[in-house]
Amino acid sequence: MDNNNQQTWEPKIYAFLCNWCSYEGADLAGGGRRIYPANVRIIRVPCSGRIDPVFILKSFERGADGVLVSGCHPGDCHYTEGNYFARRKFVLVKKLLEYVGIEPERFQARWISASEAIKFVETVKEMTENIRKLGPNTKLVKNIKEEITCQ
Amino acid sequence: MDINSELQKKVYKLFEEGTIKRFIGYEKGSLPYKTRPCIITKKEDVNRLIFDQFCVNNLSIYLRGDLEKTGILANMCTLKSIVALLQGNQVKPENLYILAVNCPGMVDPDKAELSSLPAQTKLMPFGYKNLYDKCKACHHELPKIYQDLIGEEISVACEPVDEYAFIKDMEKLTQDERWKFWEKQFSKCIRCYACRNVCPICYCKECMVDKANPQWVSKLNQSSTNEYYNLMRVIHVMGRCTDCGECERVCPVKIPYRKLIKKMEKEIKELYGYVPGKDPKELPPLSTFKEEDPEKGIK
Repeated sequence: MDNNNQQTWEPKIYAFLCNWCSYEGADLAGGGRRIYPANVRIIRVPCSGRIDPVFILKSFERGADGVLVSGCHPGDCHYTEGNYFARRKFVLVKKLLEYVGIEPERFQARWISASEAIKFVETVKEMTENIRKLGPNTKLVKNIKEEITCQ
Repeated sequence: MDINSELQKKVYKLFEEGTIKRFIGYEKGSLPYKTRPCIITKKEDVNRLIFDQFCVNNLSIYLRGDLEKTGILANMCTLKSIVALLQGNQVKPENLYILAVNCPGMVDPDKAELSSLPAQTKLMPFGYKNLYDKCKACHHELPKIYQDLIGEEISVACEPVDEYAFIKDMEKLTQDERWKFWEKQFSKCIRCYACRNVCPICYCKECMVDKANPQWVSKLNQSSTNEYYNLMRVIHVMGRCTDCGECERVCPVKIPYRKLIKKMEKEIKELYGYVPGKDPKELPPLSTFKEEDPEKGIK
């Protein structure tokens, strides 16, 4: 489907969620029949510490309009300290993306615990609305059509 | 005493005593005002060694792998990179003999009018304005990891430069202006990977760039892939980069890498109070954490 058409364009958000808290939170949102936008694509990772900052760049390159990373609240990590390491990475990557001129709204980091289904729903709603206002991401995106003609 | 004869005498003694099996230093290049790295294995060869203001190469990249007892001539940048290598357990300190040199700063051939320079190169004849930008902002405090020190103490007879001045200028621009600037810079990239190959802290045996499965960096010649590669490299070196400026020096299309990496250095200094290239016992900022770390932007 052509997602580049202005009328049919929908924001595409990649969400990297930690297995123990945020993914469970999203699961609870589904289990509780809470409605949230279908723009989010969830990728489950073992821990927020697993989220290499390169994943975030790669997501943008592969056509994400926004990236959400989420893990357990500091102090609650299943592996004791994974999210503390992740926190430093997220803060620095956010600064880097801002510095090269990518809209800061496109990259969001949240702490969402397994019981915070409502926070997950609110985050996804808020992000979808913000990115809808910004429009499709044109920075860092690989031009797939060009790739096909190259091959 | 002349710095060259002091250096040669010291290295000769080290070979004679059997302290080192080889020595990494600089020798005269084939062009005037050029030097090249050289590795000496015999005491008879020590008269090849020189040190002047064109010894800009970072010698610490020759410390990779298993070493026999090695001596190294370390200027400021090399010394800081060795600290980073020690932090990453990439060299064994017992195999290393560091001969530090009071580094007067290196001359940028792009800035200097070389035809007007004296043929006999001595230390500090070139004036402050011909130095590399990284040398202008250098604080001249050698990290205390060396075994011996040569050269006269440097008195910096100039106003200290704000090392983050160009970053503050960049931050004043709007978001789209910044993107336009970096897009233009990255579009020049020919992906020769010289910046990676010359980087002393890019010591991974297998680089993500070379991986075919999964292929992290596409081989396509597209601006997005250039942007992605360059940002990925910044992410990989942030917190460990000691600002030796080699990536910027070797770049054939002159991408201002220091403008990018210095920004991360500045943020890390402000957020976590970490300055790279000081203490080999300290952990790099992304290998450690504090519970009270700032988390602005994460809700």
